[in-house]
Amino acid sequence: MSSITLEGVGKRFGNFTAVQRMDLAVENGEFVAILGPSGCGKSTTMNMVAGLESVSDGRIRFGDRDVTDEPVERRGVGFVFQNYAIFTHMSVRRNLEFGLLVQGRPASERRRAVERMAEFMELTARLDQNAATLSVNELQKLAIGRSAIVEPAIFLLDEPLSNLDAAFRERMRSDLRQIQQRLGQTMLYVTHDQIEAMGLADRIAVMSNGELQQFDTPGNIYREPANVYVARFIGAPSMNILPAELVEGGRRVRVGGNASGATSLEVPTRYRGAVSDRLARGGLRSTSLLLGFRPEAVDGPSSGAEPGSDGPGVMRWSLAPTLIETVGRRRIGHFELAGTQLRGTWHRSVPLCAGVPVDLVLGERNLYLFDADDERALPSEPMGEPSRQLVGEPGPRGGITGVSS
Amino acid sequence: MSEPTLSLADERLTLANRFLLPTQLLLVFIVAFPLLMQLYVSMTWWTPLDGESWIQAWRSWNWFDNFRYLAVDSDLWAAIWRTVLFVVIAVPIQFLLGLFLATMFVEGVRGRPVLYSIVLMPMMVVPAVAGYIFFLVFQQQGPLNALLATFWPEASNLNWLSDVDRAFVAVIIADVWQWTPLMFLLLYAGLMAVPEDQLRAARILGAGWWHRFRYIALPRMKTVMIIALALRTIECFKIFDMLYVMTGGGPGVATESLSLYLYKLTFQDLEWSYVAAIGLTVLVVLSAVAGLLINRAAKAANRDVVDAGARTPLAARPAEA
Repeated sequence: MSSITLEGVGKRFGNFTAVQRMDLAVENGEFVAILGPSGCGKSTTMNMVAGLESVSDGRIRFGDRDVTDEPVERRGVGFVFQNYAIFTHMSVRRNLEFGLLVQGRPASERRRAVERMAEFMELTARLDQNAATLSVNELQKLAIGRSAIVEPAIFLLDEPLSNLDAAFRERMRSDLRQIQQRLGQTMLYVTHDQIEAMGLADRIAVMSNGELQQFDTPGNIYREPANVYVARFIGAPSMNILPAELVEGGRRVRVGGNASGATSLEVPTRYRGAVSDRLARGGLRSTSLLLGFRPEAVDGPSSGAEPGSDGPGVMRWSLAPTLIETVGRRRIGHFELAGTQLRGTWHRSVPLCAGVPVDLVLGERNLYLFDADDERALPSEPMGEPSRQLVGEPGPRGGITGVSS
Repeated sequence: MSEPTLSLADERLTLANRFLLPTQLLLVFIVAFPLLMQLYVSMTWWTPLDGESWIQAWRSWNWFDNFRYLAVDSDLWAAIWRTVLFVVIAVPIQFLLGLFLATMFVEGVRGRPVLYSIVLMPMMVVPAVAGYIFFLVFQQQGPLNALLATFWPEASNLNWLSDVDRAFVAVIIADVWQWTPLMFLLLYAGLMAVPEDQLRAARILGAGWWHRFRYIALPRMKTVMIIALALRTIECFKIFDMLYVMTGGGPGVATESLSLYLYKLTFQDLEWSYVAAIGLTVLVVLSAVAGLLINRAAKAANRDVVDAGARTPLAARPAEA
């Protein structure tokens, strides 16, 4: 068992920075997914942990052991490749015992270990077949078993499910989770599939453009995305993001400018502190923000309710959908506001009609504010119970000075 | 009343045969005819000195006397022995050197493109020219002795090409110089075909250089290795031009290969019927040996084809066996 610590680890290829210096601390026995689109540096990061790639900066530690300069064959990690890299010219047995064979373990020990592992992976009947004859799920189990037999403290998996078709992937996902729980190893798992990452991992490291964007539990990544990138990347359809302007001395945000359908919404309670700080600091773009909300967070649509009758922290916003899609049990309404495409999803029983305005009902907890320039989330107070603070009262960090551009 | 119709496959075969006919006729003239002529002449005492054309060779018909004689011809057997010795020393050296170079190239070496051209250059040199180069190199006043003399003064007295043993060593060095590149090229291609991911997987599982080579690369390179060895064995067995230029078979007959011996029989002794008999025998023996080797290579290749089938994209394969 072992933890994995990356301290300022980065990778450059000539002038190209594949991975910017990043810190990552994976705890012992934890299942961590590295999630990101192709080319975001996630595989490079994994390869650096495995030792297949040297690091340009920083140190890598397994537990207390600094492995930065150790060659691959002595790091003792298990690695499951995307295409499994099964030795197709050997029998299943030879594949399984390979790790022990090159360690020079005696034949009797190898035999015992192979039989145990074959049973664990349900490959006993296949032991003396040529590995090339196995089906895909057996290949995958063989790949995992072959790595697991040398009992590595750390297990790395490089998109192990991406070769499978959708139905089978579902099954392997749960199998994989079970295997991890039974083996109890520290697992690092690279994937570009957010559902895989959300479903499997204890924590997710979201990467993009060679940069670690956020490292947190699946729930926190979904609820409190660190920036616009993570907010958009996680969840489908992705989060609506639109330019917004702080108005009325920071009490409300206005979206849509002067376009039809433009509105202003109360600044959510948990952001008030940050907003007032921001305005106090001043600056040219201090009132420019990005507002985000998830399509599935939209309630309603209802119409005709009196403004203010929804109770505190609930906002209404009347917009006419331009297009309506029905996918399975979901109905997705497309809206346009000042050139920005927005989406909302409802249950398919909800009546929607293109061109007829409906009220989008949004709880303030489902609104997100980001800085317009660096696209980072504004600091927010932890989301417990919605705070009962009244609109217009000075925030905890000082009064709002009347700033309006 | 229906006409007998040919199936599409039959028709294709007929058409193919028609297209192949000219080639087949040509082959009869350039292969079958000389072969038959050789067989005919080999059963006579005929030599051009008889003053008769080879068609009249039947006048000195002797059945298998030539073949009986070659079985006890000590000059011939000495030449064969020398050639075999040459092959079993030179080819393994070429093979091991080629393999070493190929491994180095795969593992990654500085200045690979430049080195690549340099390594391959000897192969481009015409063997006769290579013979001449080494003829100069191995002179008593040549560059090799000059180089050796810098740390071993007596080297300047070494006479390479006029000493029986040293001449043999010299021609082996020359042949290794010229043909290691071919070995390298073939084995490099073989090594490149070893799946990179499997090598990496083996490495992560803790396999060092030797284990990776022994268990992953070697089984996959078997076919290429057999082909490379067969190719060089056959070629090396026929070595002529380089020796002819470099030593002329000398000193004495110390470096006289089978080809060189036959050449001398043909153009100095004009024993054409006897040469025909030897030529036929060599052809039959070499064909048998080559057939055997190729057969083995084909079997190994078949195994690889089965493997290649397993390397089809995983997504294209059924999920359950």
